[in-house]
Amino acid sequence: MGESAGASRPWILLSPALGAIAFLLVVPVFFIVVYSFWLRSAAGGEIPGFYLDNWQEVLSDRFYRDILLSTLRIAAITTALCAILGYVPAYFIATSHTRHKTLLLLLLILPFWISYIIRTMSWINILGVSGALNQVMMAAGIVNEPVQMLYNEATVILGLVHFLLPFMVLNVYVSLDAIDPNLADASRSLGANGMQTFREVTLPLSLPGLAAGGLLCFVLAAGTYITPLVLGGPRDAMFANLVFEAIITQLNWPLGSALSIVLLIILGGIVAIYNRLIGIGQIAKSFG
Amino acid sequence: MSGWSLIRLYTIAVYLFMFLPVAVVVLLSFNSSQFGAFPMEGLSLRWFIELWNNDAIVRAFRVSLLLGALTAVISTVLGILAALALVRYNFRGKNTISTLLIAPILIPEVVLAVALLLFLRWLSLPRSFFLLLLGHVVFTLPFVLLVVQARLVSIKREYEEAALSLGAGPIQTFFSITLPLLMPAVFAGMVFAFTISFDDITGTMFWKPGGVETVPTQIFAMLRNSISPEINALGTVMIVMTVAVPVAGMGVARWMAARRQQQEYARGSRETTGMRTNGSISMDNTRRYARLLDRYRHGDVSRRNFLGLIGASAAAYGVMGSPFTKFAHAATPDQVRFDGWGGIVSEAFREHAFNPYTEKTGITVVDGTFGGADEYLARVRASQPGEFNLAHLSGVFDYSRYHSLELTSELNEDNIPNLQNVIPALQQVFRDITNGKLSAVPYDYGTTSIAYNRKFISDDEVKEKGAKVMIDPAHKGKIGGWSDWKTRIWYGALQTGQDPNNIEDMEAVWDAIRTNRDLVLKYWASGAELMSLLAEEEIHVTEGWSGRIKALQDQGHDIGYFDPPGGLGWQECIFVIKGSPMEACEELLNFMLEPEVAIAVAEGQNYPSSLDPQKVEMTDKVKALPAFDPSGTLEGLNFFNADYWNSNEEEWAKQYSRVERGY
Repeated sequence: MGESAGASRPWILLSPALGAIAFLLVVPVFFIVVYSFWLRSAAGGEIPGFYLDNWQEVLSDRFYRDILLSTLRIAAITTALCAILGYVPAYFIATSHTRHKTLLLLLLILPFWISYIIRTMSWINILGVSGALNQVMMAAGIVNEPVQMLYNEATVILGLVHFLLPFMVLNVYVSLDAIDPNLADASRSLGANGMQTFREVTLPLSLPGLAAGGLLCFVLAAGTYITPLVLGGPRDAMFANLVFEAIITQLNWPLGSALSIVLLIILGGIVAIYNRLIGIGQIAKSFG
Repeated sequence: MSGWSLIRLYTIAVYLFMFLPVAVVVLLSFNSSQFGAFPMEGLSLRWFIELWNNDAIVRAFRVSLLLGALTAVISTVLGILAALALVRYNFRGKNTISTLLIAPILIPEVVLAVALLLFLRWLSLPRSFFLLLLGHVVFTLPFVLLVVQARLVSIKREYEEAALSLGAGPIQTFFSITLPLLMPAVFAGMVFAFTISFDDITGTMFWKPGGVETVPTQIFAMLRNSISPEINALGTVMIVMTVAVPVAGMGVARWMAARRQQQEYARGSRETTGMRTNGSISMDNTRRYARLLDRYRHGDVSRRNFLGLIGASAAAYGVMGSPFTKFAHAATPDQVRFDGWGGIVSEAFREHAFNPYTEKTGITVVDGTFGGADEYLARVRASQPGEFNLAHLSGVFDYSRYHSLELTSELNEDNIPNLQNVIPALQQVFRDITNGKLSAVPYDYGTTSIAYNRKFISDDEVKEKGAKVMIDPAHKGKIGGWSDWKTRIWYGALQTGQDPNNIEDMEAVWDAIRTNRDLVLKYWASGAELMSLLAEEEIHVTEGWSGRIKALQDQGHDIGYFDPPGGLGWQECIFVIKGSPMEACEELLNFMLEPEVAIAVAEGQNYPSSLDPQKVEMTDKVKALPAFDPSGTLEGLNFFNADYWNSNEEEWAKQYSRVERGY
């Protein structure tokens, strides 16, 4: 491979994906940036121009800041729970000697085949006052009257974890599966026990997958608006609910645009951190 | 060994957690009762039979399968190419590019949806299946890319270099070395893309062309009527399909792979036994490489198996390509586009109005659905003139909103003789807004009054307290309400003894809303949710829509319904959007106002028709509907004063958003 031939090759490989993103995402997002400096007219139309009103409102108002912070907190808790719940099954599937690895993975994705809304609403049938769990507990004599478990932050997180867990498991699995099994053997033959081998060899090598899964979970959780609507109480709104409300309910596209750019910048920052983690992945790679 | 069984136990627990909602959905799909909830009343297959007879769902299923399969293939191909560039090459701006490529998941989907629509309006491109596909490709691409990238990082370059040094070209090397090693990630990425596309609702809602429904949008439309166990049956069918089809295929693939692997293993271990002492890593390289060469010589069976599996869903569908050609936008005079709430109402329209209309005029009616009036308005605003024609909209408020956005048309009433049968009071509120003319015909009406569970709250209590029952601390945690700001403020006014169409002390209203907020368990956002909360006794009292409460009563729930003094009435209309082919629309409106059609729709959706019962004989079923006014004057109902509410809309909607969240 000559240097000159190699220089253009990545761009050839990238061009279809970049073309799609540029045309369907970058240009539209540029539209939103322009929009965020416009104003909403009384009728719900737009007044084009260059006004800083939306930005002033978004940046100075405690209301937006508080909800943004609670959104980030919920997303962080969700991500941590997904990592804790998801790593072990991924490890199990990747390292077990079962012939049904793909089957096990497919099973995990199966819930996706029931519409997201139906799946979210089915928690009501489980946790509700007349739901399955309350009926079981009452029949077993654990409680005398139904316990109110729904419509709080915990149920929002529960719904999110259920929705996002497969993303975590798949990502971790993919990176665990790529680890050369002989590395663990080598580690053991050098005298490390199972836990040491896991800590020194397997875990570091699976970090890129854990980071990718964590990024997906965090970003998707932070951008969600249906789960808090269905499983949350009045105060459990997240930032995307505000964006949705501004754009769809209040028809305030300029303000909605400014709000989405805020979310965009914050989540973009998270991706920058992820890029650092991919740096760790590169070190792990040379380790192999 | 005990560590391993702990891991196994943990894994089983996580799987149980993942499958709990699935089990509930499957279980409830066999529930014989009208309302899908516990406790189960008996086993029955009736919901499966109804599902089988539901053409709309079957059509939606095909669209979703095709869309998902195409999305998976296209976005996986793009994702692999991009991942190769990002992992295997060094070039300037790599970090920026890789951030850019995962950007679609950073942007809330609703923003992406609206932004893309704005852009397309600017380009004057109509919505089409192709656009929907592109939209799905863009937001599934990052998932594929992340998965493939994570795997590619761990695949050692030496394998590829070895192939190159043996004289294989870069493309050959990719197909014989890289791709087979990448397969688990390619598979995971494809499954990801497929399932995300299959499950998507937000973007699809905005991008879908008229007449195209995917499974989620169809379910959304069905939810408006109630949470029918039919939806659970659909979930069960999908599960069975996903388990049966791929698992059977996978079994075959596994069996073949296992056979081949045994042969390969025998060969591989012969080749490498001598190298064990040199270190396990080099042994593995050699063995894998031998296997790879072997695969290369014999052709990659597993890759074809895999693609075959994904392709099977598209092939089973069999009508590849047709959605590309069929759905142009409906501005041409040989078709008009109608958007409504879907479900039973759309079916009634289709049977009694659209089909006879097409037979008579040769004009096709392309019908679409929306999830809510606000979302629809956002779509209309981002459309081109003529793209949307008729819509089933609610209230005088929306009519007035469309008017101020200059979206109203002017109907020629001579072409709609059936308009003479429509209650004059319902027409007058529209005429007041559009200078005596009409841009819509009134179609149905109902009320938003107090619904309560008689088991916990007596008729007398509700009669005595009226709207204030919903700010009574005695019912804390058992109160519900609609999350709509207009309804909240209306009831806030009633609770503070004010005229909702002329509020003098707004602070008192906000305080009443705050009190209500702190007592409320949950503000619901759809008719299905309202019904579920009441039926499952999560809440004991809420405002409710008359038609939905009637449906609950018909299902045997002991729910009372009370119109407090000053209770809220509303009406829905069939609106004609500016830029539509007027004569064609007028003729369709006339069909929809035929007594036969109007009555069938009224019975289907539980809301009385706008036709004057003094002029048109109503059926007993219509006469028994809540809010039905036999006099045809509607003097007992209070409607939103459009001017008043519109002039306060900007401030109140925003303020309500804060108050609802605890400010």
